[in-house]
Amino acid sequence: MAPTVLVVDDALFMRMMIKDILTKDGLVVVGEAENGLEAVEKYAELKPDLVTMDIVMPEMDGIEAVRKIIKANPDAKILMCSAMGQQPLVVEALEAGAKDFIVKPFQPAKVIEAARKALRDEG
Amino acid sequence: MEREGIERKGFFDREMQMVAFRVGKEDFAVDVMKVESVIPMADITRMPRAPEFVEGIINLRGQIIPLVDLAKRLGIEPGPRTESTRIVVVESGGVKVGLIVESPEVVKVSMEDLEASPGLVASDVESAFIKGIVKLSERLLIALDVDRILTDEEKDGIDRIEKG
Amino acid sequence: MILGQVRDMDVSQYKELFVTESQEYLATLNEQLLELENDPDNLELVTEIFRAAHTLKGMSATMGYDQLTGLAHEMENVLDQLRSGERKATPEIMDMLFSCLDTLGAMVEDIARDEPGSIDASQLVSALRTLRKPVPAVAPEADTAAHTPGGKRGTEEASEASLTAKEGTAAQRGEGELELDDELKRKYGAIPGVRILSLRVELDDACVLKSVRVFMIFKKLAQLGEVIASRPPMKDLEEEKFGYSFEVMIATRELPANIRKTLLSISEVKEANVEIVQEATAKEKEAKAPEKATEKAPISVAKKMQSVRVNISRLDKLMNRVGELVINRTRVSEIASGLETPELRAALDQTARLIEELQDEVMKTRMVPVEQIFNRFPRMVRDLAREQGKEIDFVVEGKEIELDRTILDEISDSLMHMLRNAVDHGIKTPEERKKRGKPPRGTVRLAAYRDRNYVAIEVEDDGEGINCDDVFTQAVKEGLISEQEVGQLSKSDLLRIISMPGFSTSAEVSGVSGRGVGMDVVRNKTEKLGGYVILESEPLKGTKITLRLPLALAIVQALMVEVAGEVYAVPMGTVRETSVVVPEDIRTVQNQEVIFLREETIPLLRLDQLLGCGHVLNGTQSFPVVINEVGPKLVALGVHSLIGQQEIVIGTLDEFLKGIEGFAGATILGTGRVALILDVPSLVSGMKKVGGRRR
Repeated sequence: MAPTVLVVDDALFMRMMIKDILTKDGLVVVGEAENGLEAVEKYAELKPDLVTMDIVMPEMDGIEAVRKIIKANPDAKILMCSAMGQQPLVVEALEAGAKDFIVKPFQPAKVIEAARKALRDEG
Repeated sequence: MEREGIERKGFFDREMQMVAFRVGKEDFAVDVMKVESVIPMADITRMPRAPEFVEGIINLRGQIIPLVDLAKRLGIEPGPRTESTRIVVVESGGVKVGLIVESPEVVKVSMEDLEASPGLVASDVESAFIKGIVKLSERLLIALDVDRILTDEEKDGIDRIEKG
Repeated sequence: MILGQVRDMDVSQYKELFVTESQEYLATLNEQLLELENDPDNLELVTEIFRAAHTLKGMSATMGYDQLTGLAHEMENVLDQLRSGERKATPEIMDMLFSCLDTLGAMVEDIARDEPGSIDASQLVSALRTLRKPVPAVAPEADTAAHTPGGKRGTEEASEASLTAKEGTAAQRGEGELELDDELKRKYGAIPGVRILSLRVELDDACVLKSVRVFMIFKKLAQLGEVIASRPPMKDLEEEKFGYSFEVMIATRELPANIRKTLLSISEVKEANVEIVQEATAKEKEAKAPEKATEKAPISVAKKMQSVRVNISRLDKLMNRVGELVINRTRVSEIASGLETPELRAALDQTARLIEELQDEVMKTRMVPVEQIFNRFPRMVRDLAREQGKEIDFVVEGKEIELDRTILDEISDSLMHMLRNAVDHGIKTPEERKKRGKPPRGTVRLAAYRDRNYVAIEVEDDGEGINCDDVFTQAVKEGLISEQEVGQLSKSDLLRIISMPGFSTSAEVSGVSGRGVGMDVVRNKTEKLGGYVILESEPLKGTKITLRLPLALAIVQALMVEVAGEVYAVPMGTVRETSVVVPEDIRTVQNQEVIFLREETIPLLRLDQLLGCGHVLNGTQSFPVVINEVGPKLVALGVHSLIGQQEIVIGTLDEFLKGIEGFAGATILGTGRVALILDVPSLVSGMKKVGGRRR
């Protein structure tokens, strides 16, 4: 079965873009969330194979969401979506348990690479 | 309903308001309660295939209503259109319709002045449209039965004109 | 910032979405900035604003709109200073933020029109830059790092924690291999099973956050062994002072191949070469912990989809089809009335009901909250008031009330006119208001509410009010009405006079000038939509203008034609094409005029004759025809001229006129005049009867 993805970003535009990129690579986007809080809820509900997580979001930011998701699901595979200049935040997210990161503006090849690698990564 | 309230009041007071106007050489009046508004002559769109007395259709505050040339409808000699030609918007049998008239004004009429004897009127107006006669100082006004201006028969009439 | 980089993706397909969403963000920003102006110490609000600006920046960067990205970035910087408390939201700063917003908006507009880059924001950008305090020199790409609350210097701290290499022991920077001193070799060599490997890691040259990538690599390596040295040294790696490759020395029990595999499993690691510096002394090797069997829960495919975004043009098309269906229904009912089969009647009644429900549902999908346009106005009122030195409380009520999207679009300008009038002419300056015994601050209220089948939108001010007599005098002066007429006028005629085209556009003649600006447009637009305007005004107390609008519209595409001076609408549903006919092309076959068009013989019906306007179409001149498809047959309708295609709102003819065959309804044109909508099938069938009789 094709791997499933939860796409988290407060901008619909960004969600659409990630969704299109991942869908073209054969992944199935099973859910979208607009903020960290929603992401945590949707994760629990959908148990996706992969999550793409924006960092700066209303309600609950992406890092906090990673912490919450990882706490409940240590094996969760989360890719952070970072903007330029957010190095410390990405590091924080990786420390919190995120598997990898992709940088806006997204390049499909990079997004796919990160997604594939994260999905293959068992540790 | 507001209307009922006022009508009842009119009845007890034995006084009512009417909108008086002129069509051709005759003076007419309609119950003010039947009048929705009085507006200046509007931009008229011709309505093909409609009965001859339908002048056309107009835009009444977003609503499209027919405009009736009252002279033609009543079968009397029409007068010229002037600066004081107005459209009196009335409700006739549940349908809003504009009537082309001259110099409309609101008049107070005592119930005693209203005579329900159309037979006495020496007029070319078809008696079917006449509700009564109003004596107002110097003038004799023909009280019109607004509801009969567009009757069911008339609607059938449209069909007849159309299909015949 | 790395901007304008080569992208291996076509982003143009996302443009529309980008524009829509950016505009939403800008609208939110506008609202929040207005709020901030009244509550400058609200840090939470600043954070929200910052977030919106940040998202906008990310989106623009993704699309490659560098100008937009740059400006959003500068705006973000200023907002960050507000957030950190370095600066206060002074009026000066607010003005600057507002002009950022306007410029960003204009840029988005440009993008929407496919003309990006026409706006010069350099002045604004440099003004924003001067606002920024000189920050200690940092790597340009890391300059936004200061934004991150609690994340300051996060890279360094975090990386150091996971890095055991001591800089002093790291190899020299010169050429050659990364070398290890003997002491370390001995130290690790003494541990059984541990080998020392030298790794050369090459990153993808498109890698942008190199320091974070390095952090990930070191974190992974730390799980496999101990990093003992790197070249360049750790500090340089963190500061991204390296090309795309670096070397690491690691003491580990893992096999070189495993290390390589692990490194290559990290994104953006292009190559990893592993060399053994010192082999393990003993063969004993710790078995790697069994890999965790990550169980995947069965996936439930997308459920609970609560909303779908649909392109507006699709909704419009849907609406059009429904409009045509409604028009056709009339036709079918007419045919049925001639047949009078009870079963048919019942089935048709049912169909009619379904169509009505369908129309209703489609109309509902087009409903949007008035908020979408109301949100533009606080800013406008603020700017106008500031410009004119007036103090105004702008109150907005009923934002959540829904209206058809088209209605909303159409009245947007009207509301702008009304509000503008209220601010320009209704509300006076604080001094003047005080003279009149009023509070110095004026109030302008914009409110929407449901009123049975209408939505009412009111614009009310507590300003000067309108003096009827002044208006009437003015109208006489402008030659719009005669002296005699004035005597017959009452307060209820105020709207009519004020909305006369031309009234009071000749400004500053008297105190009433300006009050009517645009009121003719307001009235026309509103009435075209099937609504109406109510004007209430009390001198010195204020003015209230109410638009009463229908909740929804029945809309159809139509070709507007002119016949004997009247405009008619031909619904596009039956229109195949238009053409021009010269008299020589017309033949008469069996008493019926026909034209020949590309081998087809098409009956010609002259609309002027058909509609009883007499034979106005001249026998010697060419004239346009509209070719209609009625069922399997074609018919050419001869007209005097073609006006063009447009969307029209279907208005119903009342009971009295419904019986007349050939018309599907009527519509109100932009001029306020009524135009009939032709029902081509019934027009045509009516004609055939006549034709038959002729024979």
